[in-house]
Amino acid sequence: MRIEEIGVLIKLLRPKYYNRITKILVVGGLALLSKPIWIDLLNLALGEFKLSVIGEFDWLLGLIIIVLALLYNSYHRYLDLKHEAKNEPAFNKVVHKKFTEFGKLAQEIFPLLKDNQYIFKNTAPNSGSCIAEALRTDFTLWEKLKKEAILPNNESIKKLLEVNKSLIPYKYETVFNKMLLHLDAFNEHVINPNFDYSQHQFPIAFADIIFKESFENTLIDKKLIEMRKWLTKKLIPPLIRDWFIFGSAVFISGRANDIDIAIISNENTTHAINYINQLKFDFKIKFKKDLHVTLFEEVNRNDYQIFSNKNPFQLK
Amino acid sequence: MGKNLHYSIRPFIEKALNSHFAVERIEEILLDDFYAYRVFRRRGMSNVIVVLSDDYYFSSASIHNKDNVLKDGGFILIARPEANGNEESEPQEKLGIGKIGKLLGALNHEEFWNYEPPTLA
Repeated sequence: MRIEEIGVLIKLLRPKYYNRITKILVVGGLALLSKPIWIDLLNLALGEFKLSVIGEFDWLLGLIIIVLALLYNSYHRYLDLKHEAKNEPAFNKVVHKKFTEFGKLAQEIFPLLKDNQYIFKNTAPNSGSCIAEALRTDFTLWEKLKKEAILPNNESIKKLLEVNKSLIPYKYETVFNKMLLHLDAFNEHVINPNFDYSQHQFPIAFADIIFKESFENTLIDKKLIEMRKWLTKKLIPPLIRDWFIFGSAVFISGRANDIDIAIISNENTTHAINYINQLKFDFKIKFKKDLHVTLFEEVNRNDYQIFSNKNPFQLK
Repeated sequence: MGKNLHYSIRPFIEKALNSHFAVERIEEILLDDFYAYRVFRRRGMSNVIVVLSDDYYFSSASIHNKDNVLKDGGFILIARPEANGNEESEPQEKLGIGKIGKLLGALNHEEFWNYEPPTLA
């Protein structure tokens, strides 16, 4: 057995007391196991009345309850580990096939574009990252990721566009051709840093089209509709003032690593946090995805509004 | 709570910590719900436990959900460059809170939880 496998086994067996059911069952089972001590005390207090559940086999019942509770815990732990999101460059997950709808093609391109955008915004020179955070002046990561992530991502975008050329609406042809030129020019720039690709900058209109088409296509996703219905039932006043789903889930719900949701609560933080922690667990078990909650308190409602404005693609 | 960080973030943080003058070495701490490091410092300074937060908006809810590994103090690193929210440390808990710039500044001080970065005049 390899070390990683031993690690997973330990994680599965380690009780995490995921929810109240496990906790109640384990405590109940322990109580039955340790019956001689507490029942003697209780019977002493009760006098004539003798308390027992199934007589001399109470300890066995206690043991069975504990085993069942830990099996229940391990099963949910297994689900949790199995569906742990894996972060890696987007090109590793792309399927280069011929699609039947333009919206599906846009959704296949979306993670590639988003990955490139994140790398550019946070590591590249002239991207504004130095303004956002003064320390980000080390561009070695940008140089590395250009070769190891952006280039293969671009190659995937190019392949997808070539294979699905017939799906591109006529009105978008000019923008898509500009994108193809940009991909070639950027590739040349990485191979030869002296090559000036300033005439073939990334066409922002291309991203606008991909984002808009992906968003519209995800609105009919059955799984997302089901998630929204479930959340609508759970996130209600007076505890919850408002909420919305944002991030990758509103573009490619089925393939998003997790479901990002912003929530503003009406009540004190502790109550809201406890409720939301239980909600996250229930969501994971039901939909096999993490619910990544950004929680705002009532006093932070202005920040909530700013956050909402920053995420124009959102769903309730 | 979570490990939902872009794959470029941790290499950036690890490189920044390993290149820091006051840092001897770092060791990853394996936690279920967070990425975390134990930072060993030079010159007789104490170790610091650094736990990465993947929150978009850091608030009192984020502090409430902190891992038990921080029970004796440490630093919550707001790891997403685009994140915002409350970056005030909690000195009574010996808990530093902030982004990478603040962490690197704080590591030069034994009482890292009291460190506040200089503000532009």
